[in-house]
This record gives sequence, structure tokens and C-alpha cells, in this order.
Amino acid sequence: MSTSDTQLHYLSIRQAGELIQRGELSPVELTRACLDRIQATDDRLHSFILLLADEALAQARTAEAEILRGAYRGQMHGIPFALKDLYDTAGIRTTSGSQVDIDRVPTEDATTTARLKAAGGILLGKLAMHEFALGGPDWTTPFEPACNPWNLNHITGGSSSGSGSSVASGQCLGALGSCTGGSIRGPASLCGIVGLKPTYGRVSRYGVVTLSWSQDHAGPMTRTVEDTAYMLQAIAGHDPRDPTSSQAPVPDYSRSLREDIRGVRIGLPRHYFFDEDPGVSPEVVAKVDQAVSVLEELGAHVEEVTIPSLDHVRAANSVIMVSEAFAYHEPNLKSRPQEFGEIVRGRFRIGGLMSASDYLQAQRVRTWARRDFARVMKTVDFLVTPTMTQPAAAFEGYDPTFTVRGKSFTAPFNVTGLPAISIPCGFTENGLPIGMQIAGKPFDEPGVIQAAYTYQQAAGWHELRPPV
Amino acid sequence: MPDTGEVSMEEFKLMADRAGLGMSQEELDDLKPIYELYAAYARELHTLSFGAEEMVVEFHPDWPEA
Repeated sequence: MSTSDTQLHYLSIRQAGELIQRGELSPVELTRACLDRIQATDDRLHSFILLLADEALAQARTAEAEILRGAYRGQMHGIPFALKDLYDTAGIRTTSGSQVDIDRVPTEDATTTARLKAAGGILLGKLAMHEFALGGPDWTTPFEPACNPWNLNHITGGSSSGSGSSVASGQCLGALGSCTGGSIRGPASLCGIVGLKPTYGRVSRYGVVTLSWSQDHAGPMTRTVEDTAYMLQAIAGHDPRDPTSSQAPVPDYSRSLREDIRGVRIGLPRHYFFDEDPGVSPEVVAKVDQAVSVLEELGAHVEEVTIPSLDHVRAANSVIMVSEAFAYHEPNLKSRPQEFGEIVRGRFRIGGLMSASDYLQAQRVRTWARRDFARVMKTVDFLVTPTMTQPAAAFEGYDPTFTVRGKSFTAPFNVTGLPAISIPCGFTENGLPIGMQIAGKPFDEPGVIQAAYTYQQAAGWHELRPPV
Repeated sequence: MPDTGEVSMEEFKLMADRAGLGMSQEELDDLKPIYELYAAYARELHTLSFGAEEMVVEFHPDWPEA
């Protein structure tokens, strides 16, 4: 690994935005730098399903002209970003990583796509993903799995696999992922970047291909916490086209970029996340414990908390996920099953074998879990945990049922809808990234961002770059 | 032998047929072990009792917006 440098493609959104606003950096120059970086690395990383080089340069020239005439739109203006390939893009193929949708061209943008464009962002292309946001690397789908920039022989995690690899490797300055059980925070953790799953309802799901209506979340993946705040600012807010979109006002997230967590109360659910478990890497837990010590040194009060429902939320998340996925995909699953990859075809079929009673019981457990978490969150401001049970696995010998077995450290926050961020907190002895998860109260993205920012500034892990 | 709750292949095939999945025997063989992982999750959920409390099944009588 190396420390950060002044290469344009590794500028943060904050750094690039300041230079662009001052007229010291052209969006065209920045976009070219990203395209050059993609050209130099994507034969090894496979981050992109579709590159939109000409379109991106045209957008960059438009942004440059707007800024030159004084029409600067804000932090995202002229910033190259990319989208997981389940965000609808008008007139641009959106495959969800599947042969099933290989020719699907939406007629309108997802709300999030439209909002990033309205903020002046430059869309570089569409990113690799696990098919329909589930499963794992699958060579029976049309696209090569994305590789981890820290070690090309290892997975990125998913399902926002290309989002993780592209942001970590400097191919783009930020990306959107989507998350039903951990698909933003997982690849963020395994690729050494920041990933935020906002509160359910905070960011519109309209135009984001469904895996599980009641658990899907859209959110940003970036190299720094401040960049996550800027991307969230662009995409958050009520959308009447998403029936579960919240009317809660959107705060100014940049005001949370302050280094101060003095007096903040942090809860550690050790019984689930930190205790010895054959499925959990001691190296991961040790690094997160070290990060918790840093939070304490920065002034946070840390206490242990108990959340009994945690032992069952993984089950609820899994049953709800495959049941809702089957309901959504049933027509295609029955009429052209051979067009699904092997992993997802099987998982979706299992959804058809769950009973109504199974689904309803899972939803009842979910209600219990929400109450349980609400009780605990009256006594603490945040929960801090490892993001993943393990560092990135090697492709060789990878077991696709790994994501079904054992504990999930991310799913509890999809089940409860609470906001949760993953930030880098160190590396394994083999040089693979480890992430720490900070979860907050509903709609307390400002608090989550501030806590994460404070840790990031103290720890500095975000300044390291992968060897790719 | 403890009751693992696992279904026989014959039962599994019946379930798949009833769901209209149209799977070959080879596909059934491949899927059954993964199904058992999910079925274990479902069984785990059913060990929890919430009595008669209405926790999630809700119907709002107002008309949805057109």
C-alpha cells in the first residue's frame, strides 16, 4: 500500500470540488483523469459493466461552461461518479448484472440518478454487481466479477462489488451502492472505503431495481466521510414516487463534518458482535476493539449493551429477502429461469418455498427487533461494531453459501432501518482492509457522519491507497 | 435421532412443483442443501412466540392516493 498522493483521480470530492469552484481544476481534466485510470486498471478490476466515456466528457464540458459563467451548483458539480448497474438511467442500458435484463433500457432516471445529475455530477458509467443484488461472484452471469484493489485474488464483497472496487482504486470519486443485507457496508469494509446505508426512507428507491422492497436502501460509497456527506446531500429527501419515502426534512450534512465526539455515548453489543465465534475473525474483532479505544480517547463514553433480538434478525432478514425477491422476480423466474445465474436462480426459487406464515413471522420478529433496538438507543447515541465477520475472501475456494451461513453484522440495520456507516479501521496482516460500523438513531445521519468523521480524522486510514 | 426438520427429497420436489418452479432432478439436488439453510432460519423464527399481539399485519382503511 502507499500513502495518498496528488494524482487527480485520487482527489476527494471535497478537494476536487474546492479546486473546481475556484476555477483551478477543469471538470474535463478530472473526468479524463478518471477515464485514464479506468483504462489503466479495469482489465484487472472489472469494476465497470458499461463505460460512458463520450457522454461523461460531454457532461464535463457542459459543467465546465456552467461554472465558468458563474452557475456553480455545489459540491457535486463537475464530480465524476458511477452507479451500480441497478440504478435506472434513461436511455442507458441497466442490467442488474443479469442476462435477464441484458437489453433493458429504462426510459427515465431513478430519482437518485436524476438528483446526482441535477447536482452537476458526471456519470462515468455503470458498475459491476452481484446479480440482482444477491449471492456472490458468479461466473454463470454475463459479467466478470469485480476484483479487490488491495489483492486482485480476493473478492470485493457485494453486492455493490464494482462500487467498492472503483471507488477504492480511484476510478471514480464516488459511487452509489444499494443494500438489503449489507451490500453497501460490506464492500466498503472489504475494499477499505466508506459506505453509508441511510435510514430507510431517507433516500428514494424509485428506479432502483428491487431485491426486497421493505429492506432495500440506496446510499453512497466514497473514500472519505465528508464525501459521503456530500453525496448524501445530493440524493436525500422526499420522493412521492417512492411509497416509503420519508417527509422528514433534510439537514445540511456538511455541518456534521466537525471533529468532536466528547460525551457521546457508544453502545457495544459484545454478546453478538465481539464474543468468540468460529465464524468471526479474531483479527477483525481486535482491530475494531482498537478503534473503539480511539473513540474513547477522543472523548466518547463506551458501555456494553444487550440486544436479545440480535440472535434472530439474520433469520428475519434472510426470509423476508428471498420471499420479497421471489414475489418481484416470479414471472421471469418461471418463464426464463435459464437466464438467471446459478446462485441467484436458486436463492430466488427458495423464496417461492417459504410459506406465508414464515414471512409473517419474520416480519413480527422485525417488529420486535425494532422495539428492542429502540429501547437500547434510548440509553446510547450509537452502536459500534465490526462491519464484517471476515476480511475479503479469496476467489479460489470461495463458498457461495458463505453469505447465507452464520452471523451477519450488517443485516440488523436493514431489518431495523437504522442508519449505519462503515469506515476503514485498519488492515489484516495480509494487507486486507477491515471496517468498523457505526449505527445511529433513525434519521441521525448527521450524528453518524460526525462520529465517523471524527474517527477518520484521528486514524487516517483513508489516506492509504491500494497497490493496483 | 433428533428431528432436524429437514424435508425428504420427495417432499422437496412436491413443494417445488406446487410453487410452479419446474425444476429438474439435478436442480432439486443442487438446491436442497441451500434450501435447508433457509428452512432452518424459518424454523428458528417460529420458535419465538408473540402471542396474539398484532405486530405487523396492518391495513389502513383510507384510500390510497390515485
